[in-house]
Amino acid sequence: MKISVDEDKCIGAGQCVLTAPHTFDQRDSDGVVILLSAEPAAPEQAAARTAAAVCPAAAITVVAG
Amino acid sequence: MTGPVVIAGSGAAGLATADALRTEGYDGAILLLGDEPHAPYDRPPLSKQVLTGAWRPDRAVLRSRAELAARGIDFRPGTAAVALDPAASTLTLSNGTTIGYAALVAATGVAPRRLPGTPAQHVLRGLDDTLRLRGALTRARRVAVVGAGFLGCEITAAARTMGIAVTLADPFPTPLHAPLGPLLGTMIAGLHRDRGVDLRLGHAVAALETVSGNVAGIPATPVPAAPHTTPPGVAASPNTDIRAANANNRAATAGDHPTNAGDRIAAVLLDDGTRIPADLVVTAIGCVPRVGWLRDSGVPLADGVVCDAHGRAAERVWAAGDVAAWWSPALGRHVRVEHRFTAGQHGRIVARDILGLPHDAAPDQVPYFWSDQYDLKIQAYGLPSGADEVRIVEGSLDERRFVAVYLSGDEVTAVAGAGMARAMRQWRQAVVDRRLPAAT
Repeated sequence: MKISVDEDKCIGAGQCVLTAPHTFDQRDSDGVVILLSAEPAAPEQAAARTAAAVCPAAAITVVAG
Repeated sequence: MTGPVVIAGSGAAGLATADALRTEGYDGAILLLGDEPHAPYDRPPLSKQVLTGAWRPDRAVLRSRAELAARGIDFRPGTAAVALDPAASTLTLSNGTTIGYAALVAATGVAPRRLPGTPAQHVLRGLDDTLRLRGALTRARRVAVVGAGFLGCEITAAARTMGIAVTLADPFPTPLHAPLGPLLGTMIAGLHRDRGVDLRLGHAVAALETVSGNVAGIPATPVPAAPHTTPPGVAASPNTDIRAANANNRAATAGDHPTNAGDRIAAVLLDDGTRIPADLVVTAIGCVPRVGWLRDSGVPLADGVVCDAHGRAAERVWAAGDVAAWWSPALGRHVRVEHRFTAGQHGRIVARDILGLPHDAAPDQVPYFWSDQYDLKIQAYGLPSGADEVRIVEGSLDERRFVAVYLSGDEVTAVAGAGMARAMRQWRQAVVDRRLPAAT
């Protein structure tokens, strides 16, 4: 699995951090997403996929791999 | 379950439902009906990046036709649902055909209210509206925005960013009075005043005056827009691409965009007699659920489609997104939420319900919404409207960096803030717990 984030689309909702805290974080200044791991380990993958689905700005892309 | 699952509406909620069905392993047929000619697109950027021109319209596309096809989602643009027969489990489409379904999802969204009368007024709901308004803004000198809710405030900010003179009128004493309350509303008023907006608060618009001197009075209650129908002048073609929308728009002459120069707007008249010259009027006074196609179906309708806590409205019928009023166990009433995050939540829950999968025993999901105005991003968890107390718990309104907690009695109903994303995420727990954190 490969994950990419679009910082320009990100609106700092923080829903990804709530859903998959080992994969995503937020910048303190503006809340924009920080990708902690572009290729999460197996136990994290389901949460990362959910995070992509819940993002209200459609800023997270998951490519199966 | 043997399909098809038919989803009426290809916005965020409809698309999220289709996606979640596939993610949960459903491999039967999915029909995704969109009454517009465009591939599914995201609405929040319309009144922000697309209106200001910061984004090209195709940046707002959520899923291309090729991507939909790759997931086995049968996308039918330019196709609206016009009638439902739950007893026969059939749906009649705008092209005259009738199709059967194993599960039906109503995700038809909402339609903007308009001020009654003949003069031209713009609304912003869809991509075509947005591009039409953007074109008009590039030619406008003085804009009147009617309604200071989130949409009106965002359109105002976009127009000021483009350097256009803006008057923003609302009958309430502050912007965002109903959704955020007077304390934050006062801060928002200051934000717009600082940017040179002419705020006319506490006054309703009484009439629109045209260049030819006609004055169209406005009754106290605005008329809802037409229900779920294809707007005039929109020719649906399966080959229409979002990038072609610009060309379509220049050619389109919707009913409320007059070609007769005398019908152009000259001024807005407020209820105290004030005359505000304007060559463009944008109406942003809320929306009504698009349920006309369900009128005779027997599916329960009130303010939207009335659903249980998982979006089920009737036998094999669900509803999701802006059009759906879901039962809220926490609030003990049906709630219809017009926020982007809720649309996605609904889609995922409805998909699981359709497939008979178990739901989270104790979902701690709370609504989330945001609004961008100039360089300020307001965020909220929960539903702030109707609270009886607002407390600033971090930062300050003067700095426009703050966290505000909304209380009804001792119960926390929402938090709203700006410029403090991380603190907001921590305060969200108070909304989940419905009470203030214990003093540490």
